[in-house]
Amino acid sequence: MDLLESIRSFAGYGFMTRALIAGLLLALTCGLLSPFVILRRLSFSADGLAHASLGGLAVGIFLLGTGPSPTLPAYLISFVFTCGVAAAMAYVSSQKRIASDTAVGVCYLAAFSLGVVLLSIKQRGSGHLEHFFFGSITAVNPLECWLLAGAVLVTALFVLRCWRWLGSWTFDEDIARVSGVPTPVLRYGLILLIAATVIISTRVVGVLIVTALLIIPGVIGTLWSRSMAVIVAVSVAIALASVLSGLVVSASIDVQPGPVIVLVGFVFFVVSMAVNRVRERRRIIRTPALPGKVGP
Amino acid sequence: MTTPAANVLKVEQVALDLSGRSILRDVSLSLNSGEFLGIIGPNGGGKTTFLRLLVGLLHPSSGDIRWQGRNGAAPRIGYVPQKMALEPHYPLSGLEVVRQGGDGGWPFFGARRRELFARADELIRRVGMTDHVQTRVVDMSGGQQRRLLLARALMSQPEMLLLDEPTAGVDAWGQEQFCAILHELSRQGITVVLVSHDIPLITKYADRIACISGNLHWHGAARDLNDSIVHSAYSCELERYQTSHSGEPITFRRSGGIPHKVHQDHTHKPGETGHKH
Repeated sequence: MDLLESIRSFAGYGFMTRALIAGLLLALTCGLLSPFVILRRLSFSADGLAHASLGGLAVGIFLLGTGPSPTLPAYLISFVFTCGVAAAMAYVSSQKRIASDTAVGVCYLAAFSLGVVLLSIKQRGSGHLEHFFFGSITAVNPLECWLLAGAVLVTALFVLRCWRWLGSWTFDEDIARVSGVPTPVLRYGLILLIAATVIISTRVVGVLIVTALLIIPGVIGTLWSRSMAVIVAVSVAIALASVLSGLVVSASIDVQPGPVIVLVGFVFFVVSMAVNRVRERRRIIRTPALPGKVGP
Repeated sequence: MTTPAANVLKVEQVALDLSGRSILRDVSLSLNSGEFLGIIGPNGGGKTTFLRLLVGLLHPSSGDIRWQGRNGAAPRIGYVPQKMALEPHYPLSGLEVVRQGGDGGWPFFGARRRELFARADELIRRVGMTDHVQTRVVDMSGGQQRRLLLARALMSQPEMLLLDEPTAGVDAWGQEQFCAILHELSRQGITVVLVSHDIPLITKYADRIACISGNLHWHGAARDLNDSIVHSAYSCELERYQTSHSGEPITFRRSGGIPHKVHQDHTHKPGETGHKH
């Protein structure tokens, strides 16, 4: 099956169209959030929340007795659970003798393990667990598409409303606080948006893929520009390109789309890193060294 | 010189304890609009802590800090910290960082955006950073970063400007230039509070000096500051310096009255109270 035929197959099947819509909506949300996740050094927290959301979905499915496809109440239970895990991470991090990455690690592993245990009990085995790791974007239902559309809308409004505050906050939290930036609103707002995005996406693209989409596009953005607007634009573009190319390539070679999306993103990352390295070298050659300043 | 107008800051009997240790106690002073206050004192004396109390990053254990802005509202405050907690991969340029300093959360468009960009360019020119603004902030030298932070702090058109050792690590010409800008700003009605170890420089430009060493050791007009006041405030520091070199641990009493037992320790960490090299 060649590439053109793969693209034609998208138009021919309703489930593929839904997969494409869901993938692009997810790419928009993650592309908007990713630069702030990177600049606020929240990559590990995002990864932790993505894994914790599995625990939340398992609790929802276990309590409501639904099948492997969660219903809206199951998503709501999962959201409350994941927010609880985020609060626990914040609380344990605030303890003087525990480093914040340790706190994140302990909390998400506990929540993730709880999810695995509950799903194993519910499904008499762990055969369906891989759906939550790698997702099944072609099995996305209309409810999930609507939830993803809602996530895009809320994320876009949050980023637009807090645009300049987010810039200040990523630069220096103390300076931002003194200038009147509502830093707690930004911190908890960003965490809640990450939590909501990973919960909705866990069944669609899986825990591992949503984490990658929250990290890779933002890193690539920071490699390409020194301006916040361009970084966010590049991040969104890379997320969209990764999802689109990943879906088309996976259809053409008949493999799961999720891992292919991540691999495409990784290729963009490697290329960006190489280009950035060349640009930096050229800049060093062109710029005379500052007196008293050593190194690049 | 502009006649000092309304009272903008009143600090009454402020004390701060952290982890059961008294950091500051019994600090009272007031500031008028357009005044330039210099804060001096030995390392570990509480200057940075006092500044963080003033800007609201710390809350006093007792006492009261009251701000009074124009029209009775809280004043707009510009703050330049001692150091920035920037990761080495932070990507934004100096120009972008200065432009972020404007008020509000929404992005600006049209005339408002042009006005903001023009103000940023003017402030960058004023602090002498025009040739370096396209450089990433993390690639700038310490002195350049501090000048950039000053421009950024001025973007919100603050009524108060508080700076924590902004001239540390800056060459003599740069220090003079920096303080001259602050002096000019205070003449334009901005109240300036500057923490510095450079006593000759600070007395040259500031209207008043507060010497903090655990408490408010001395407070008065800059012209009244003399050697004996400075010596008594810094005596514990000198004593520690001498003691650490003689090798004998001693117990002594700081001028402010806070007892400290000091043992010889050659492994001082940055920021800790310790001898000067």
